[in-house]
Amino acid sequence: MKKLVQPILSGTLAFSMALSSTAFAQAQKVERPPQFVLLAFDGSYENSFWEESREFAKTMKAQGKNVKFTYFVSGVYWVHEGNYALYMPPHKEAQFSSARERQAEVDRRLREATDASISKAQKKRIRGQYSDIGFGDNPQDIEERVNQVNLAYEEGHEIASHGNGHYKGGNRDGESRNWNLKQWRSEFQQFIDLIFNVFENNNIQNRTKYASGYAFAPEEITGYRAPTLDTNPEMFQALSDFRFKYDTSGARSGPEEAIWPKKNKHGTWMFPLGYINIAGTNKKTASMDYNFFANQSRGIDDKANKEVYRDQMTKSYMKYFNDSYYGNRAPVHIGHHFSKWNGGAYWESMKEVTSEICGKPEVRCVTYIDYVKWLESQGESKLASFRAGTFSKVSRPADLKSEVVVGKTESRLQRDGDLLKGSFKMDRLAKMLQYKSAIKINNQVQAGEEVDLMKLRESALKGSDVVVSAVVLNKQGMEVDSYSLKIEKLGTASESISNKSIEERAILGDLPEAHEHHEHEE
Amino acid sequence: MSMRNRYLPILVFSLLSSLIGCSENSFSGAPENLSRSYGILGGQDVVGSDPVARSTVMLLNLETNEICTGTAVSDQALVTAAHCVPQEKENLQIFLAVNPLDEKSDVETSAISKIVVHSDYNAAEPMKSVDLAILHLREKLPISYQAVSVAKASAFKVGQDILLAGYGNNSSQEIEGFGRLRQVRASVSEIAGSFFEVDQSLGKGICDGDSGGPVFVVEGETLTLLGVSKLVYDKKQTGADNCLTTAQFVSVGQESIQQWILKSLLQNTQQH
Repeated sequence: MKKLVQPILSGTLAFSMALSSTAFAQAQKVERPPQFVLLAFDGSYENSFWEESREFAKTMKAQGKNVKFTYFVSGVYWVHEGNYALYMPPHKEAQFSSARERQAEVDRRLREATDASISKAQKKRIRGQYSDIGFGDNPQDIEERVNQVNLAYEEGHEIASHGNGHYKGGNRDGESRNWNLKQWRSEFQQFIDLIFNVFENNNIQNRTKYASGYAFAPEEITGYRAPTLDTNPEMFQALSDFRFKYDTSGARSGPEEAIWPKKNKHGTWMFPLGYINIAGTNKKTASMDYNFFANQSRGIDDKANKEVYRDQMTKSYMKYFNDSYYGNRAPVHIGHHFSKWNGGAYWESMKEVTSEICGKPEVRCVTYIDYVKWLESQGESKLASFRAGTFSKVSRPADLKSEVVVGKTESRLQRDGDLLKGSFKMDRLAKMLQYKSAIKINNQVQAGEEVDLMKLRESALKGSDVVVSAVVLNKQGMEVDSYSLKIEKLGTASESISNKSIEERAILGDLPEAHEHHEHEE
Repeated sequence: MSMRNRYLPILVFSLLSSLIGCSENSFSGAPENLSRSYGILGGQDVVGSDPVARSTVMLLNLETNEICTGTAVSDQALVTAAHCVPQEKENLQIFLAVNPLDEKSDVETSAISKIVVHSDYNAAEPMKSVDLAILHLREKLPISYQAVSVAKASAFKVGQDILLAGYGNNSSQEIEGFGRLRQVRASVSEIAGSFFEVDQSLGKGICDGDSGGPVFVVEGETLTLLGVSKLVYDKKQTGADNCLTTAQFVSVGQESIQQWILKSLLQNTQQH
């Protein structure tokens, strides 16, 4: 018995001392930490956007604002459409019992891709089973992408990984594929292979000044953001096996304030995106452009309201930044794509916010890996003090004491046979602010508060996808709240209505639709 | 009786020579030393029968969706902060209740006939700005409402006991508690020309939504308007939470401002 008790007593004592030590560390008054801002892009397809984003960083530098981006690139854009089979999605690999069998399938698919007897449409369908976001266009396109990546790296930006085919490899919901450890390892290995075998895979000459074709080594790719932010424990194990230093796949819920990062049990730094309120509304979303796009206009382009969307994002990001800058100094994460949805509203907003904040005193707009280096140079005691906020805060500017308020609302759509009925709740403040409820079809306000699907089938294009929304609008006509359902293949035998609202889905972050325009029509 | 004369009996500018012996019992709510954080910041709810409730209203700017506070300075006019008023007068709603957001409370509203903004109001320079506006109402306020008189600035000093009221947040960190009329006692920490200040570092003072609200001097059951809430700023550079810094108010008792208020009230009368 004595032997059993002894270790417990020791353990208790050690625990108490650890607590005291932590308490002591947290009580230390420390110098205020810098405000880190992490600006990143997922995807990497559009070569013109590589150029544009790099140029923007140069413009900022000329103004004395140091702006570095982290580019989370997708491996499939390093292989052209004709050679798509060089990437084998991990969930497909399970059907092969040997490496030889797998290689035979790759060879068969590569032959098939050049088989003139197979239609382009059929090839596209097959190819679609190998990536959710398409592939590189052709060798020239890919060669330019290699060039852009090298230039970005040389200019101080970071290249990180966004996996390959944008598959949901985690275990978040019914659509997730829940890859096992072997499958995750395959995904990460294939990423390295696709990037660094780019010349061989696409039969192009290495015309770069680097022997490997790259300004950086595979070991320098140490950051990851999971497609659709969908993760599982096996993914984190595999990240550790591949010596990734950090992960940015977290999509949080709960409080809006920025949080200080921690390492997971594998020693990987965890950097979740922000979970923020869309200014002037009851909507919350991840600090990502596509999520704003899905929340504001259901992922349907609406250039007419570009300024409203841009302004909302700018105000939302500025609040996210200011709360941290004048508060706990936790890092601010903004994740965008190489896209210009809603007339470029989000890219313009990102530039506006970047320009506003990256020149401020004590602000560092750096790459993720530079942030990791900073974190690891601080020591645990200092980090504990930062997390505890034991530093003097910076003074806020004079603040007028009027208060922007938002009435509480709730919008829903309920199906009753062939009717989709809007149901709305508003509190007194919402009524005082003169909010109005409405139904929208593909973002256009309709008369009444319900949609007759029979009539819709008659008026809309057969087989088209239609989005029906129950919305609450403020006096300026801006949406305060929305609940949208997508009807797919309207009027056909396979017509279906989503069981989860677009807004609920959008909160997850980095949906495949954020990249889907990259699969070219043929 | 001309419209001009209608205002004059109510518009009393009083000289406050002695403010000792304010009756705490005249004002509603629990004692301020309750542990519950309650008030505009560190204060308490105002009940409907309270003199503060009879002169203070909630404003809602439908152009900016902002909440503010206003004070009756005649039976048909309010004073508030200029930054609270919209471009179109129809977009400013006035709610006459202590808790207008409560679904169960009866709320009267009042429409505006004219807005007069102080000529020294400059949104670009909030610290120097005479952030003041007069709202002329279409109809007289209900009889339960009572206009307050304006104090003379020369009658108060640093250390003056004051009562702040407003419909703003009761937290310096969260958007919460707005839409309920609250009051808190404080004291003047500095006077400078058209403005005076209150040190709010101990958690008593104004916060978001209290803009345009009154600073009263209390004598018995009589309230006299000393200032209008405007902004907070980190005067001591402590980096403290937003509202736990220093509040700045427009000193309505300052002679030129008093005259402007009187002139603004008459201006509308003459138009009738």
